[in-house]
Amino acid sequence: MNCEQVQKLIHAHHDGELDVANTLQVDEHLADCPSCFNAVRQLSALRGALQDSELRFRAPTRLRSSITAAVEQAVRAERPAVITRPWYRQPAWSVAAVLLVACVLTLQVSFRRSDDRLLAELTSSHVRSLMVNHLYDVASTDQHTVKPWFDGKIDFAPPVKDLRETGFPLLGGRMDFLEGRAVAALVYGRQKHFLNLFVWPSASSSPAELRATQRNGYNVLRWSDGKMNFGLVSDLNEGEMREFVREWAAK
Amino acid sequence: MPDAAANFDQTILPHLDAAYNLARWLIGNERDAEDVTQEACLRAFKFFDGFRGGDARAWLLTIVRRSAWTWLRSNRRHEEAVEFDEELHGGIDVSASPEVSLIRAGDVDAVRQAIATLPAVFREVLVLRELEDCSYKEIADIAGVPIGTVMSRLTRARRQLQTALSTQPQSGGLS
Ligand SMILES: [Zn+2]
Repeated sequence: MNCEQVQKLIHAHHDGELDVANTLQVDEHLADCPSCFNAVRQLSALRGALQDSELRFRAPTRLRSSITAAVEQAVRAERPAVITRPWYRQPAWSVAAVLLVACVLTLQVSFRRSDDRLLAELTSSHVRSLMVNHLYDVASTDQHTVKPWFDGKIDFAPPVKDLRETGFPLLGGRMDFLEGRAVAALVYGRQKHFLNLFVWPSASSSPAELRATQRNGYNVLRWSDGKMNFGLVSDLNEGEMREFVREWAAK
Repeated sequence: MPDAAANFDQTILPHLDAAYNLARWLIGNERDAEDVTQEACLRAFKFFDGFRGGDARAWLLTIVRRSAWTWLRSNRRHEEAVEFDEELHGGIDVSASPEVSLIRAGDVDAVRQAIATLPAVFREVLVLRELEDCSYKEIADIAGVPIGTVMSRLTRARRQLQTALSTQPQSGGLS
């Protein structure tokens, strides 16, 4: 793929709408094209700016009550006509059944879609960090240097731990983007392998069990401790990555 | 047995914010956006019986969008209301994107202003994608255009937004 083809696809790539084959080709191109890679980072920056909840208008209360009143009035006016229909033609019954099914499907589909998008973003962020030689903004094996580096760059304080004694030395940290928000990426080493640990605040206060997935040949482990979400990505084998997670929790 | 009004509360009303958000961004002022949203909700309610599956939110947004465009056509300058002609405006521009990595989280007003100046056909795909998290397929259904058109409009919308934001005075960055 050349730059022109890639530039046409990076929006779909960014939106998680690209098929696997094209995603791989785009990732490959981004790995050694700083200018296309920069275009992707700018899309992430733009999404970050659009993420502000103040940009979404909320329906005023007076509109809500005015609509409710109008609907009640319409129901009262239409009731006699409704009663003459067979039961299955009545709005209440058919709509209730159809919408129940529709809601369940919608929930599942949108959950799967956003889950898949996150997985794709985790993996491609990992790949990019390795290939574009942008592993860290702050290179330090000292957790007391890495942790304060994030102050003022992201809106939360990520936990930073050095796992040197257990064979996972901390190498540095950088700011990255996932789902349009700025997240912390901590970089650890294991012999010749690199591990990216992405950290961002959890929306739910209950911890989430460890889930291991494979994507494009990389292992992705995700969990939450009820405060932070963690995404660990590496080409290291799953067993050693689980070891990392245990050591992280124990420390 | 729950009556039709209760059903409306459970199925349409949860998407009222999404409906109003789209109307408000397309129309540009509160009062008319409220009128259009209310009209669309009542129409959605009226055709409740005809609704046969699918996504209730996408269905409501389709109706809101149609009402908003009707409003735009009768209340705005001709240029604004004309749906974008892809033929006339060519393909995707692949020239280097402007440097906007320094958009700060606090610049909400600048971002809002930049979105407001986009043509309505760009604004709607951007709002649906970025603020309502709709998929390309959902946007295509709501706007009644092919997915390829959604993609090219989204690309142009973002490009224009980046250009607009890069010319905003900035007092600092993430660095
Ligand atoms: Zn390139």
